[in-house]
Amino acid sequence: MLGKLLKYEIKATARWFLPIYIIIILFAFINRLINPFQKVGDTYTATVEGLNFLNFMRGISIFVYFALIVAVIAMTFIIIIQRFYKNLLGDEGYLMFTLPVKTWQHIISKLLTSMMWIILSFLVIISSILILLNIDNLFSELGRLISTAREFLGDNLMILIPIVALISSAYSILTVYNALSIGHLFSKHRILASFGAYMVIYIVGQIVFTIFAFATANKILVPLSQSTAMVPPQVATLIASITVIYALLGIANFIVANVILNRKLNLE
Amino acid sequence: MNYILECNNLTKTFGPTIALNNVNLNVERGKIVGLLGPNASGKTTLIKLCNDLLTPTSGEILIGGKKPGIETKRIISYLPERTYLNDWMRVSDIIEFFKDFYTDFVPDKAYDMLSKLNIDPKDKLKTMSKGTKEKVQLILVMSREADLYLLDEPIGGVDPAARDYILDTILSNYNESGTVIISTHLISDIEKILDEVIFLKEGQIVLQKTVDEIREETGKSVDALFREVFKC
Repeated sequence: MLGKLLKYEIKATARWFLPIYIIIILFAFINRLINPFQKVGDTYTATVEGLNFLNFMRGISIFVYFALIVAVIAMTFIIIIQRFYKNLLGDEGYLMFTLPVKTWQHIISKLLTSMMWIILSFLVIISSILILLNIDNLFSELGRLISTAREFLGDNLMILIPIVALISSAYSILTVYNALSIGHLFSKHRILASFGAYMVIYIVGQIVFTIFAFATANKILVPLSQSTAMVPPQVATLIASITVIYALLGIANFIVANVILNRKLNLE
Repeated sequence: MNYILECNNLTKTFGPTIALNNVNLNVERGKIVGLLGPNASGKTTLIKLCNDLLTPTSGEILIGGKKPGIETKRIISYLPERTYLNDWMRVSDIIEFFKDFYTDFVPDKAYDMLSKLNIDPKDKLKTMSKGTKEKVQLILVMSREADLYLLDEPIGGVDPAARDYILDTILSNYNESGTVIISTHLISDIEKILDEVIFLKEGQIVLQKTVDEIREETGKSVDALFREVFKC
């Protein structure tokens, strides 16, 4: 059943994301063609100088491109909130919550779909920048970049950084879900209550991180500040710990949201 | 006796408001039952409790002997008073959706009813009028071979001409071994199809009888009896 929920969740959201992805890639190519960036020595600089029609078009197209990047980021956030709020807590909830499906499967299907779009939005933005910059020998350059990063960061961090990015975004999404669920407990001003709940959850997270920082200061933060190495070994420990804390906080959000939707659901 | 719906000392409160007060109720299989009562008498609350959309404050509710959950959702076909259709699907997409999630859904039945009502399966749900959406929902709900149909105000929002069609749809499509519970306050319109009625008043059952019993004992129609019981 989780598979079917995922299928419909992706269908419901793809009609927003796919068109904007295509437009972004398209505008990256347009900008590359009319070439507002040029490689001078080792750096890329804009070449818009003087006021004529071509430069005007260059200016417009680069503006549209950046507007699209902002739009896709904003859209990703809005859709994450809107899918949970409208599809589960709005009138559509009457359909979703009477399907022979467990509540946790609804939450997980929305979480996984949201994460998929976050990753895809990230990849689309990166790809569009690469298209825009028009780098010679793109793939060998990318390979060189990765091997340099690996040399600098070490194997552990190369694995840990993407993991912490994924886990922390899952945590952020679950915080939103939990805040919306807590807001749903109120009979009036549900949206306002959700904002309040979000703030509280955020502060709780900050407190947990602060306690952790103090409790482990002697082992992590103090040696980290005294170390003279470019990338001290404590960085990996720190990031691994942050990952674990985000995972635990995320699970807590998930459990609270699940209990509320199971036992305290009260659709209008 | 294996009842399709049992309520034992069922109570549901919302803060200080008591929506259902110690309800005891048994409904048999294979019946068409009218759940009748004025506004705010607890009809929708009872139906939501059956659907696991609300959790009882105390007491228990059993559907085919089971507490509300995945197993009971499989055998209940529910028509809420709200429009739950989303705005991005076509009619044919929502039919696929029902087919995917409910094993007892019969798409041919749905397409057949759609064509009788001149609704194009290619139409988007978004562009439909409220009345058409209600018809689509009823078609989806009645195209399942469910054990229990829970219809909350199925004729509330449609014109009298469409009411007859809807009642015919309900009668000619429900799974005969299943039970249909129809909640409404428009009694005269549905009286003729009911086997049994339940009167709900301020969260309590005040009467549960077959329509024949009512006629024999009081010589009145259900509508007349309702007006008497709920006289203001």
